[in-house]
Amino acid sequence: MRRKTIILFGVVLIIGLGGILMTAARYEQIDDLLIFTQVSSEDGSILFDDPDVWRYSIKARIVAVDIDDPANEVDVLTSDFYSARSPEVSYDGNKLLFTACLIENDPWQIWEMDLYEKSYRSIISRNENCTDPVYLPDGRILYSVQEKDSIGNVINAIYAVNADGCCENRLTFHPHNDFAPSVHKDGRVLVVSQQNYPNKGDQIMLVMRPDGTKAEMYYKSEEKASFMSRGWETPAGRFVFIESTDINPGNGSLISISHNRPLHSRIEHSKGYKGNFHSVYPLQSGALMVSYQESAKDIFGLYEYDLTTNNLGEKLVSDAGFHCIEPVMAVERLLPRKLPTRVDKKIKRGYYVCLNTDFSQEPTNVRGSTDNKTRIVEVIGLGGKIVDIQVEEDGSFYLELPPDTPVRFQTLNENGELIRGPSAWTWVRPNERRGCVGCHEDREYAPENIVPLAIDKKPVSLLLEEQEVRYEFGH
Amino acid sequence: MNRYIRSILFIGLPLAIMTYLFYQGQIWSVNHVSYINAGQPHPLNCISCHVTPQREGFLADLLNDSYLSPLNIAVSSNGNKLYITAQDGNALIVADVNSGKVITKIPVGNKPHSVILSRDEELAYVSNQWSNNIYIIDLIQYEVIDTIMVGGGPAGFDLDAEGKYLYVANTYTSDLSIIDLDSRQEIRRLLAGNKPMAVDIAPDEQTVYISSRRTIPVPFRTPPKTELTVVDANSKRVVDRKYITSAHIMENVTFTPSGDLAFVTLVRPKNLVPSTQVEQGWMMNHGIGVIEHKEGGRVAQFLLDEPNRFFADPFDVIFSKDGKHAFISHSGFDHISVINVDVIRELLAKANDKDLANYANHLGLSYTYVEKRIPTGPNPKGMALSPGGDKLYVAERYADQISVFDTKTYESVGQIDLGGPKKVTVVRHGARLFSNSSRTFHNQYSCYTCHPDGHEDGLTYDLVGSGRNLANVQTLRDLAGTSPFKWNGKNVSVYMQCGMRFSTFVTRTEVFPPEDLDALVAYIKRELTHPPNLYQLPDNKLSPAQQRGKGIFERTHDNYENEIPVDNRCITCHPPPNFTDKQMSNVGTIKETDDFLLLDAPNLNNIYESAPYLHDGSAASLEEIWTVFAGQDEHGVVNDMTKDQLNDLIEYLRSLGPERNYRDVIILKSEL
Repeated sequence: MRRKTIILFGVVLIIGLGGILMTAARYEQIDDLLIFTQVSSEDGSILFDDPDVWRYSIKARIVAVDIDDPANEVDVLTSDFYSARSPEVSYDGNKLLFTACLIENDPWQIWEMDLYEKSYRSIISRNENCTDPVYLPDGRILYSVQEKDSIGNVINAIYAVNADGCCENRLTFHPHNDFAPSVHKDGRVLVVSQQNYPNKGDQIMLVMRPDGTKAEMYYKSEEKASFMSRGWETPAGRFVFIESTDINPGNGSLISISHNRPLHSRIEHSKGYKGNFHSVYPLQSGALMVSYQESAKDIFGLYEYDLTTNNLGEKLVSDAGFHCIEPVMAVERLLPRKLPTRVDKKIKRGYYVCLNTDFSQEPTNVRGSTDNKTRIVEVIGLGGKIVDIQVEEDGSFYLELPPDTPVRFQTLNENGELIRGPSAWTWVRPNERRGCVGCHEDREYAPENIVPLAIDKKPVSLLLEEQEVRYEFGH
Repeated sequence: MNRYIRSILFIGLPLAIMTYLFYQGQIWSVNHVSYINAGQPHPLNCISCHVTPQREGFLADLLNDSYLSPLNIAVSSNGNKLYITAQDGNALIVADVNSGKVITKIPVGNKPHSVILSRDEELAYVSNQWSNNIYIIDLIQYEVIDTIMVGGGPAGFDLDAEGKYLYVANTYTSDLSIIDLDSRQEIRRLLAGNKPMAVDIAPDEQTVYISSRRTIPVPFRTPPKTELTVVDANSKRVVDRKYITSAHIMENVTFTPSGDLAFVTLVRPKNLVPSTQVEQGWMMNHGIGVIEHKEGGRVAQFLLDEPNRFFADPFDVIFSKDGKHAFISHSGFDHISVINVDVIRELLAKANDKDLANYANHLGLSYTYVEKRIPTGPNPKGMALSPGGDKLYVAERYADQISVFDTKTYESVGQIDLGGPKKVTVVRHGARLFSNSSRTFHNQYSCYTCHPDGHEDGLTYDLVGSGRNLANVQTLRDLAGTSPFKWNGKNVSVYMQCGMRFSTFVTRTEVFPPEDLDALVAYIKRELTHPPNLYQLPDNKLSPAQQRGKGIFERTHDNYENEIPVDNRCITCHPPPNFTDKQMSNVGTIKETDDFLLLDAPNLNNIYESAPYLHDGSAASLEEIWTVFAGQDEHGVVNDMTKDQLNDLIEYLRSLGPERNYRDVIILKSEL
């Protein structure tokens, strides 16, 4: 009896210790894990001049390899899926988000994988394609959904969902293609955005709070460039991404901008390189991991890149049959700020105050007239003009708007002549208060410290009564 | 009764009772903490509230410590010694630069602010801000040899080239004392802005500039205008009052070595702009004022911020020996900015008035003239250069040390430990948090920005962002025992005041983690106190006017012998010791723009320091409360009073000091 007890105790002890050792070993393995996407080099599914294509690759797969021994055979993480893209690792380094379709022609959906267990679960299930998932610091998940807007245009909008898949919440409401969100250390979300209606606009980088408020332009290339991949913030506070210009579509260049002054700090790091960059990821060491091909005939491999010296290191990973793109590391990262929210869906309105419509960096459209003072602001919805409102003597106006509804503005003089506009699309979230210094003003200008005349009056309401829309916004 | 039953009774029963009490106590304390903390999750910690923030007591003393808090520095002409005012240590510290050791600590007055050496360097002058005097210290014997009484709150000062006249900015009485150092007598007192902080004499010795902290009184809801007082050094008269518009908190002023320009540090608040957002500098900007020192010279403002990064609370400004660079300490962001002065000159030379107006709000322009940002220790304040100009000394107030930087490489080359406590107590951590902008979005402002020295900035903000519920900033000094907080009395505790809603409406970033919130609250409650009341007579005696005013404050009948209803007597809502009954009232001052009907009765401690008055700051002075805003006697019965009576009442109100002076006085409402 006593012997049996000792043997039993020994077995339990060995199993326990073994379990602990195995767990520890797995932790060590995950710490050094480089995860990336492999896209077949034969099916031509990386086409850089069409983001709709490169985002929905055929038979792409997400794989992992030990960064200390990248020559080893890769571990295919998404072997159960027809195709998978856009890997993103949680801030604790333990989980992987990705977009994938289980079988051919299924819509792309968002999935999460436990990197220890290699088990995965569906985060959402929609009929539309969902791509580019990213974690918010509060545990929610952001992603882009391809859907139709209220007048039937196909757009991509950014959504948020709780980690358990509930409480899906749309965040962007303009007729744009919004995709490739990433989260900045200050807690805001950067989104690649391109106007889709009424005409195709240039791609810009939009920044907003993670509740969809305070959306504004963050960066726009002077060279009408397209973004090739998601951007990331480096530990040194620069934002790195891959850009392709109209002049040379598909020829990806490595770009960085300073978060402190994003509109005027663009550096093209890859000028000396003849090949193409596809994607980039900042490593904790301060270096970058880049996906690069030496020429259009070659496949994309993964390289380390020194941003300060612009030196492309040795090729770390390549696979003859696959382009290797979208690298990420399974490591613990600094948690961005968790920003508070004032969005309250019970309040069916938001407010917009402009301090001075005549403060602008853009030239006036008025020809042959000296009357460049704004008297009227025309509010435009998806269905066309909504209403004209009088601006105050100091150029200010104050609006009460239905929430989550895109509008644009243009300014007119006393004769009804167009001065500037129309502006970019904008929206207010429920209970949001938004402000702007001017119209198409230089965004590096802080407001002058004055009380705008409009704020001393009731806002011009575009709502009829409680919760009722006064004007047709194109829904 | 057998022994088993006895055992159960003697052991089990007390255990059961203790267990019951423990769980009941836990439930009570969870509810209590939840109430104090507005329902936000917070780990239970009785010590956080009931021990650490206490100003007295064995346990509080055990948990807290006495720090030095160096504020300003003077350097000997041979560069071997530093003289440092220790604001919380009430000492002048003499340190050996070469050994990096403290030579001696000379006890001085209350809250020493600045230090300057006589021309022969045998004497040091120290301004004691809370003692209202200047100490003269013998630097051979290291002892105080004389005291010169000046105005209230002496802060920055400067000495003329001959070492004959000392110009002292008196912060609390808003004037300038001119001291003849031969006779050691104050020979002139000149009005100087509102809360003057710093003095600098031009290199030509003809002009003296004095910079102020607060705006002069301006019409309601108009931009602040802060005075730069200009004194002629020969006549010793004020010859000009320059107003720096839309700016305040001008903590220091310094001329370039050539004297063509003077720089003042400043904050540009956006208190009138609806606070719809923090992004794009909608709450607070920080920069310098640049004054062309010549006939008809212009005043320009340049920001030190960047579009997405702000450099809060600029404090000191000094120039390199060749005048090509200016160093500016950002006490709210733990950095020094290095400015290329020639770029500033070029920008000024090509600017018209419209350009100057644009410069003042241009967040990206700093990229043209800021050459370097040097990180420092916590709360960098006063600075000094070595005689050769190769070393920059920075007083890191909340590290109790002087950091030394090479002015060519801008690298740190050492620290001088002043000998303060090494441990960072909870309260000290709170002090660091209070003065640091890292807990606001883009580091745009610290608690200190709106509450300099724990007080208030004299401005009214539109924090809701709708032109409604305008809020006059209230002092944080001597808050304990005066809850609730906010004008609408919504916050029952400082915890609630600095909690989730604070994050949503004020800091607009992540809420304070519990340990930081504990520290911040402990600091506010323990450390932030009013300076001595300048209107109080020794031993809390009252002047005849104050005595008469007290009678009016406590009166039960008006001038026509009509009994004043109890609820409409001054003392009912403002009883000692803190002169607040902590209740909500309608005093007839609610405006159409307010969404609430009742106001929390504010405490009246050192109320004379807190203009403008009323919840929205619409009363420019105490007088206006009972003249312009007297209404139908809703705010106490006052309309029967003569002008003399009102003057007496106000004289008495000005004498009301912090709770510690009145703790023996208890007046119950039922006794009235």
